[in-house]
Amino acid sequence: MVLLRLAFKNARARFSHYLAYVLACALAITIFFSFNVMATTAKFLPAVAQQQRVRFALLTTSFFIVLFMAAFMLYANLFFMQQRHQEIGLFNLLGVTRWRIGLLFFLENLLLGLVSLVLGLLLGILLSKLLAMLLLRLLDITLATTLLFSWAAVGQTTSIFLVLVVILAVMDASLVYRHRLAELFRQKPPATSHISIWHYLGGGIGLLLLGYAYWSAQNYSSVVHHYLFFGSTAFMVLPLLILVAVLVGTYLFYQASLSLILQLLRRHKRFSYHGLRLVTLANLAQRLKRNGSISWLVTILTAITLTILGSMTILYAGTQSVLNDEQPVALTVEKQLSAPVKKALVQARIPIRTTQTARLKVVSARFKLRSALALNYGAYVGPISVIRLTDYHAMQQIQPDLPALTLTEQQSVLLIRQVSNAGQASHQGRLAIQLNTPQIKKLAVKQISHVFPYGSSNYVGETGLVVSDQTYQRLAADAQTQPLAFDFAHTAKSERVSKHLAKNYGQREWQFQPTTNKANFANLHFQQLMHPVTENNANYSLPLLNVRYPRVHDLRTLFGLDAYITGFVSLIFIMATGSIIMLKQLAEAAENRSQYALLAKLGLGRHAVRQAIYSQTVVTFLLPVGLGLVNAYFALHILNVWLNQLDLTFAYIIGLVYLVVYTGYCWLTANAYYKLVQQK
Amino acid sequence: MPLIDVHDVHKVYGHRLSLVTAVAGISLAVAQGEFVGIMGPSGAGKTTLLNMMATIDRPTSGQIKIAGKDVTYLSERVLAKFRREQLGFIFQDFNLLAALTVRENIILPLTLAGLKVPVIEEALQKTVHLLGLTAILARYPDEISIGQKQRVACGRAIINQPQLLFADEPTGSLDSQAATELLRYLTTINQQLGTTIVLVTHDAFTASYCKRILFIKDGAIFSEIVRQGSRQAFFQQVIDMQATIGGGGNANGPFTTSI
Repeated sequence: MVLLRLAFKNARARFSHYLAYVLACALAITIFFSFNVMATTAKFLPAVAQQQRVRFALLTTSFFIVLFMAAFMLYANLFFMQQRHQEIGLFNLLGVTRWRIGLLFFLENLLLGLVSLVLGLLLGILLSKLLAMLLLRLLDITLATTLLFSWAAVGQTTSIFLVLVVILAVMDASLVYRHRLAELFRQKPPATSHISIWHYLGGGIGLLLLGYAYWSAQNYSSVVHHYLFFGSTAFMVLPLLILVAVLVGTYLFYQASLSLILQLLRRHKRFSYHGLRLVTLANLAQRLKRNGSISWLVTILTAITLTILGSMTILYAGTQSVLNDEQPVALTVEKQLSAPVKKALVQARIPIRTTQTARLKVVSARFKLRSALALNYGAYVGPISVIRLTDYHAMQQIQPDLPALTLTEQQSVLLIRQVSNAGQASHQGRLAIQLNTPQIKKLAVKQISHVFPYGSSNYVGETGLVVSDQTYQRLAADAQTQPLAFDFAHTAKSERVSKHLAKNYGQREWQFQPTTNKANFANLHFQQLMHPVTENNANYSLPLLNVRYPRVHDLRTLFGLDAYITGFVSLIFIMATGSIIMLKQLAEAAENRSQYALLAKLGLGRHAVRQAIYSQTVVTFLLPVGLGLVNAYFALHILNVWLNQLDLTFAYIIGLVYLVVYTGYCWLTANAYYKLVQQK
Repeated sequence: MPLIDVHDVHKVYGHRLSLVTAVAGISLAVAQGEFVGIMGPSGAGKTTLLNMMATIDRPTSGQIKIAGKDVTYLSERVLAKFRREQLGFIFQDFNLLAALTVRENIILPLTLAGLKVPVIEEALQKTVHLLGLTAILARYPDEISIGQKQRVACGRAIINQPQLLFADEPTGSLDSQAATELLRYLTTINQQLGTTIVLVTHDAFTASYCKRILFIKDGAIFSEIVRQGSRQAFFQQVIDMQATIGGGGNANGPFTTSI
């Protein structure tokens, strides 16, 4: 019982020390519990449309949370043990058996674990409703939720985290048990060292590797040409090389380059012989050396999570832009189907803002784009839909983002989807398109555009050509299509009706079949068939009806779920790494107290001490995150070259959020550090 | 006018219920260029008195003037500047910063004072030459002997050419040889640079290097002796006085060393 009381006392005395740790654990438990309760509550999930997917995602994520928490708790525990090794030694010296010391630590750990668990569960029960509402909102579902609670989720959460805590506690106790007395009293080796030739070598190589990696990533599309001896895999090999260079370079940066830079700064007397700079530089060298490995890990993990988050947003933006390319209009329908569709819309009382129609001529064509990457779009041989300039401009009423064009009879504008254009050189030079029609054999391509009037899903081969009215007149077509566009607002009703129409008519499609072997372009024509066709060689098809709003909804749901999950996972990641760095810093504060006491005796004011502490903390804290952000930026840059200049704003915002949260941690740490140092 | 003028200083520690009087009404004066020792048994209030004179600690009541200026109630900021510019310190446990090299440790007070690089370099050369530290400037404190560490601390204390040097048990961690060496350096500093030194010790051998010794017991001045003849004779005087006071301070320190 004495032991239990002692454990309780210890845990209470050190609680302020453990606060960050307990909070990070509690937060993870809260999120784990909430995900679990959402996945298991019968009332909640059936209301969600894609319930299997959501349930799977929630459960998988909570599994990863457990894995991550296990790693975090393991690390934090090892750290605490290291901090208290002298205490263990003292107990041992006082004649407490090692078995009892082990037990003491076991009990303390258990207490801390229980506090985290209870705190996490209480928060979970309170917050799960909020989290569920957030998920529903992101999934675009309206549903009244009551307080979510299930004993099964409580049981599962409790048992999993208790098992984790017990495993860790047993591990700690066994560590204590196996330690030798002498080892426990051994002082840490001094972290000072002279700069050797290895620092110059390693530090130089580290900086060179980072420089090489960043430069190659930034100029990826031009640098890739120098790697063509890898053949067509060059575009994959280069990023791998860059990845290795970043991993090794970052490691060397922390192990050697930083020491080297700080040492050189210290030797630069005009810089370093100034106020506290000498002390700050020396302390930084010591700290960064001690924290080298964890800083590296945080840098890499930050880069990885940010890259994942960033690429997710890129994919979302990409899918969004694909949708905008394919179906910018609420509904398009082929003329012959338009009567029943219009009737359905009118019956449902959906106010139609505008309608617009055009005739598109289908001809066979051939052109070749210049490629920037080894990813070659190559030559296109196949059918394309041709629209005349007047019809193009008429569509600006519904699609205001259609750029205005002027064309002579010899000119045309090539319409290519943004995705298929990925990796093409931005400058195409003089480009021409060959047409297989008796009157017109060739047209100059004035420019390439990615905005299709009516949307690319109304163009055969998803490729289009805008020509002047006169040229259009003279063009003999293989076939013709006549899309009709309906513009109406996105409401729950219009979405439902669109979905219904797509279900009824969405299966019908035009199919286009080559009349001859493609090898002989002069004889290539396309024959228009209505679905279904028996022949398998009908390579090109065009649905008669296309709708936009149900797809918008699906996309939002998909992204909402992903954003929800990655958001919480990265929240846990930030909390965990932030706490680890914070703990390490505060442990050092205790060590450095005598140093600051001495500086005060030498006549250093409080203000200067505060400043020195803040600048040191800022560097140790923000360096890993900053470097991680830089790494992620370049990774996303390459991805973006592949996926074709998509919008990265969202990824930047997330990076900024990281930076803000870490700055908050940094501020807290610096304050606590200062208080610890000032303590008499 | 004396350099240090302590007038009826009291220092009381602790809470209401358990007050401890460390210094109970001490008055003393130290003239410019003196080498004064403060001796007394453990707990007599030596270090408290020194800290108050060195402006690290404030008296509960009474007045301390340094160079005619009352330092008792100056603000923390002014005191910090005063310490930086006028005072030097040597401690028993050296208090060197482990992360800095010997060179950086020595020049620290000057960089804090914001001096220019050439001025710092010149002062460094002078100090290093005086204390014989030239060979170890690039080393870290972990890489030099204890005696060298104390000399480095001494170098740091005198590099800003303070008017006043305070030493709190400077030989406490040293072996006899290193202690003798350090005391000779302190004597040199006192004589050549004219630096006033106030030294706290409870070791008679160390004290015998002073010109005048104040004995403190239970927070008050017990007696005072002044060196007139040889150091050896003075040492004997110190031993006799210690025997009179009792509560021996001879238990540790290089007392058994031949003199």
